[in-house]
Amino acid sequence: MASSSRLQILGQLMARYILGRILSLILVLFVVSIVTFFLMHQVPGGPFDETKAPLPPAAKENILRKYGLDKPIHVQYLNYMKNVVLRFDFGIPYQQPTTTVTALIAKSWKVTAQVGLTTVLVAFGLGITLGIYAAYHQNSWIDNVTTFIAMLGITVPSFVVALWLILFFAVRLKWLPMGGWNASESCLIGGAFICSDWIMPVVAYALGPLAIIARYTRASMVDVMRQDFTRTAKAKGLGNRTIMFRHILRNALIPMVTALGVIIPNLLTGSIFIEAVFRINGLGKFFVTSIFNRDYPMIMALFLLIAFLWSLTYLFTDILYTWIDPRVRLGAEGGA
Amino acid sequence: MKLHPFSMRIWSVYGLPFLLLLGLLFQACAPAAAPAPAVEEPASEEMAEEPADNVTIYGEELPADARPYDEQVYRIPVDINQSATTFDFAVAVYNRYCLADLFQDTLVSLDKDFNVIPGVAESWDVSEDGKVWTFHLRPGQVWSDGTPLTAYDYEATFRLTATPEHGWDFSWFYSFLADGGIKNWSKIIAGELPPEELGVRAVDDLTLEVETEKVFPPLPGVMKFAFTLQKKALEEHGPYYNSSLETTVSSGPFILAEFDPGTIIAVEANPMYNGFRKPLLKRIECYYMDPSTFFAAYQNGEIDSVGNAALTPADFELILRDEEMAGNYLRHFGDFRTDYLLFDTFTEPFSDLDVRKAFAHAVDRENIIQNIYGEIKAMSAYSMLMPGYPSSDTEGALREYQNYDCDLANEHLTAAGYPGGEGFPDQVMMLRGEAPAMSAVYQAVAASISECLNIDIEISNVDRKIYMDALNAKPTELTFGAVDYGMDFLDPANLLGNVWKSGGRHSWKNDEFDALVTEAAGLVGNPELRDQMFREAERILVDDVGGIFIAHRWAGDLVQPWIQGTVREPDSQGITGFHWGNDQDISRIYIAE
Amino acid sequence: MTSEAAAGMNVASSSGSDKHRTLWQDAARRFLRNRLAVFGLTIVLFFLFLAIFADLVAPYPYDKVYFDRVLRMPFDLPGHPLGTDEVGRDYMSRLIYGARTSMTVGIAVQAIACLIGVPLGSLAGYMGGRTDFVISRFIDSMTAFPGLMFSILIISVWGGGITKVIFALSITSWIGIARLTRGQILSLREKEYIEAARCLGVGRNRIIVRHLLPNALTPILVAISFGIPAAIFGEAGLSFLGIGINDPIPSWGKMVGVSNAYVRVYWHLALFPTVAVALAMLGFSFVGDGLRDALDPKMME
Repeated sequence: MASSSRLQILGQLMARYILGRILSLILVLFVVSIVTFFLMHQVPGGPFDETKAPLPPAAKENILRKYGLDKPIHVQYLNYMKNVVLRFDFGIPYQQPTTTVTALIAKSWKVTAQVGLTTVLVAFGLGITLGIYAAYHQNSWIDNVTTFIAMLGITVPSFVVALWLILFFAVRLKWLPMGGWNASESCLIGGAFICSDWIMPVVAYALGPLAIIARYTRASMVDVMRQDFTRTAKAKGLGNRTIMFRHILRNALIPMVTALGVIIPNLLTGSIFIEAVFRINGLGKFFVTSIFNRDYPMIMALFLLIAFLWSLTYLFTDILYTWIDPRVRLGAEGGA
Repeated sequence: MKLHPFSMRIWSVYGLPFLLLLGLLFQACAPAAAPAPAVEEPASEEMAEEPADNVTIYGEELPADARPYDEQVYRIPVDINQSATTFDFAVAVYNRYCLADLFQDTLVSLDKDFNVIPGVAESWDVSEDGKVWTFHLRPGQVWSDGTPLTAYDYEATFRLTATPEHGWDFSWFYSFLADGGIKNWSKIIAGELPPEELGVRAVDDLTLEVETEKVFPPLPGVMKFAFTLQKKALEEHGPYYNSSLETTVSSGPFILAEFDPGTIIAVEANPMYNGFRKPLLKRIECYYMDPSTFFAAYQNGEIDSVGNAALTPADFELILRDEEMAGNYLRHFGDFRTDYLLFDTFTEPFSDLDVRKAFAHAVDRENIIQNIYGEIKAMSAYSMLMPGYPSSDTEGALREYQNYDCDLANEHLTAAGYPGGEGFPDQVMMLRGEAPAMSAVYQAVAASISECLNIDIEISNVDRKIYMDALNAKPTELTFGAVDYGMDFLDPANLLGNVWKSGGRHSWKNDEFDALVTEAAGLVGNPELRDQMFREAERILVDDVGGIFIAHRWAGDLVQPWIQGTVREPDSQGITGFHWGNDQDISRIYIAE
Repeated sequence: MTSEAAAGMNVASSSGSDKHRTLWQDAARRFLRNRLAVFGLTIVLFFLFLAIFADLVAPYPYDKVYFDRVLRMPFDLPGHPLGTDEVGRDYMSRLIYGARTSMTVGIAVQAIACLIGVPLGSLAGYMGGRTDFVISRFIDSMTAFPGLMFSILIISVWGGGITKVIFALSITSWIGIARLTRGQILSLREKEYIEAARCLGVGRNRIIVRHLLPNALTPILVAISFGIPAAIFGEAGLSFLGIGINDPIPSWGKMVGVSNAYVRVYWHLALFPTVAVALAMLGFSFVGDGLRDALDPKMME
């Protein structure tokens, strides 16, 4: 029914909308940078404080001067932002002064992204399938197993799951390696068949999101299935499959997209617990060590990275909303 | 239309999985309690015809039970969360990678009984006035690039560490030695004098002079910290030259072979090495792992040694239940670490000696060590110096000052004006980022005090930096807390003098104590008197309750049965394992069948 | 597409405001008819009971230490049916007191989250335009903070303890609810029955509270039913990293975290708090599901 002129208008609207969102993304990053910078400097203890005896004042001043920490805080902030904006220079991590923040994050993120992407695939693939199946076969054993997995995934923290997996499959049965992560590209294609060290981390990590996804899918499927338009469609004699894909799934996708927006950035930035327990040399550990070490450049970079990723994901999910559900208008105008 | 999401059969559905979950737990845990599977893969038949010439690259014959030289690989774990910046003591002491200290030898070393023995310096002598020490270096030692190792390397390294811009994290140490410190150290750190004025001078290639501010007899022992960088590499590549395979250079027994922090670091025997500790090992590998997986990796035979710090109480339980593992746990002194409670004795309520005595007598140490800490990990402490450390109270003469006696404790509390704990302010005991096992110990300590004295104690386990910040603040922000301290060098001038003298980390002051430790630290020519003075100082410390001493920690390493060498030989007190300051044991390890 | 419109009209007519009182009564009736929901409610009430009356129910104080009873297995000693912990305290008593901490954290965090998230989300979703823009950017900025790191930072600045933990967890947990509410309202406000109500001159607030929110409630309730245990685990994660609630006060999360070091031998330390959290989780989800079914206006006979 859509005419070409309508599409054009829609396209213009979309472009304007996206431009606005990108501007607001920059605003968000700015807010995050300010809040983080001042908050982290509020935390007691400095990056070079922790020695057995207090450093002699002179020595402490030397170190602070070396890292530019002797200047007033707003000057430090402006210097930092100047380097970031003009030169994309995020500084040098105090934890590893022989490298740069950018290099360190890039290096560890490769592994984390592999873990995250595999987990996303498993969690979404399995989660949606289970959720749909469970909704269609309510009260069947698959429904019950799904509900149970969902319960397990939500009620047991990933570090506990990880520990039990290791105790059982590595220590007791010796089927799988205790940890590690083969970061070679062939694993991405071959997956678990080649790289057996991928199995346990992904299972432990995916269980939680998988549970949430399965539950969300099932809940919204059941919800939509009960709605009248589905009944009407059935009454009109549309086939089961058509109903499922054209009506139910499309409608059920809306809350799913919301869930997606929450889960994906989490998975992409890695889990402190999973990476620690399975000795995966990814980004996860820096989230805690950076704060514990008061590694200011690293803290800033991580906060900004995550802020960027999340904002981007939300932009995509919002666009997805409008694509899935034409009733949702673009955020630019409207209102009562 | 039945719209209910769950069926009535839900009970059976949920019941079964919970049973499964229970079963999983049982299965996962029960077998672990059984003896660990010994790893005995190498078939002995294949090895029957071993070539006779099993020698190291230095031409030394390996012991008869050793595996072929190519398999002389020692594998250790390191905490994957460890942050490190360097291999070198002279760059950042508290941020070193694993396998640090293998790229150079120090001026002196210690034998198993903690006596100072020659290292790079084959001898040393002291000037008439006792302030200038001359170290004579062993001739012929070279760097892996062929450059000779000279006194100028040491001089350059010491100057680097004193350079204000270098911001050395250990720079507190030579200031902390106060009168015993290296001449001009504090002034150079403060930027008042150039680094060239430092009291460490190379006289010629093989002679190094160290001048102290005042007379300081333990100085040779302190030269255990005289690590060196290569002057040439330092000038060409800066202080981080060892963090790269291209620029690394070693005058120690090993050279860097693999460098991928976060995954693996490996070193190999240095073919150019001709110092005092030629290794039997061909290679040492250090794997990054989470500490919670160390023990399981040990049981799997993936690593050769696990330090006590990574062993959980459950791991210790499994070790003690298994005779073979228990036999391979080498318990040793570590760094003579003592766990104690400290407080702000300058303000209420702990400014009152009776309150401190009440607390000191309210800790049921014996029970806590026996049941919670575990005797494999600690012994009860009634004073600062662990038995075995110089001038320590091996006879138990100081016991009475802080022993557990709840009635006596309550008498003191009443004398302080809080009969039956009435009116005593609620306390928060601060812990310094303790893991569950130590947290359990302090919860027991707190419970013991609260139960005996009827005082409410909460425990706040904060991160290390927050703790140290509060502790080091002047005036201190730490009213009541727990901490541990291990020695920096083997002399009571350290653990009593440097640590407890007023003005340091503790908010406790006793003039008599201060005078005693200051005088004793610089006392030459009368070791008996010096010893007596330190003993008296320690008596004052416990009597005036500067701290409440809880436990002396045993350190230890769980090693694989095939790890052999001098590390298994006992010292004169019958203690085996790695000894602090002993650089030789690592070179005498070999992999047996 | 006409069928959809017709369906919308049906819904609109059946949720007329005059039936409002009976709607809630009906919901309560339906809820109580639902056995699982009642089962869930029983669990939740049971834990709430434990939390409130822990002092009366628990056989021992949570901080009572017995040096001769350290790390005993369940039923090893009479009087300690669930064994003792690593400091020699009765594990059952600690679990019971743990209910108090965990329930407080879970409910308080979600209550704060709803108090902030639902009004903000519905306002943004309904008003659209500039209001939506401002609120959405605020939500975006807040979302952009990594939750765990942010909590650690905040606790590092403010110090530990239960109120600080609740505060730190609330700061990030309202965002999900706000986004969800906004998304729901956004998709509902274009529904025909809302437009009908609008045409009839029903006020904005009334439309939001009477028409939009009840219809948007389903996913919010699901989210809350996950949010409470999520908050309990948030606290566990912080405790796992050693910055949660002060000792010797017990919380299930902390008990799970600490048990990590003991689980290979003393499995009971991990099992019971895990089961307790799982049960609480189960309870809250059943209640959530039951509420959803009971409140669903489309289920009117």
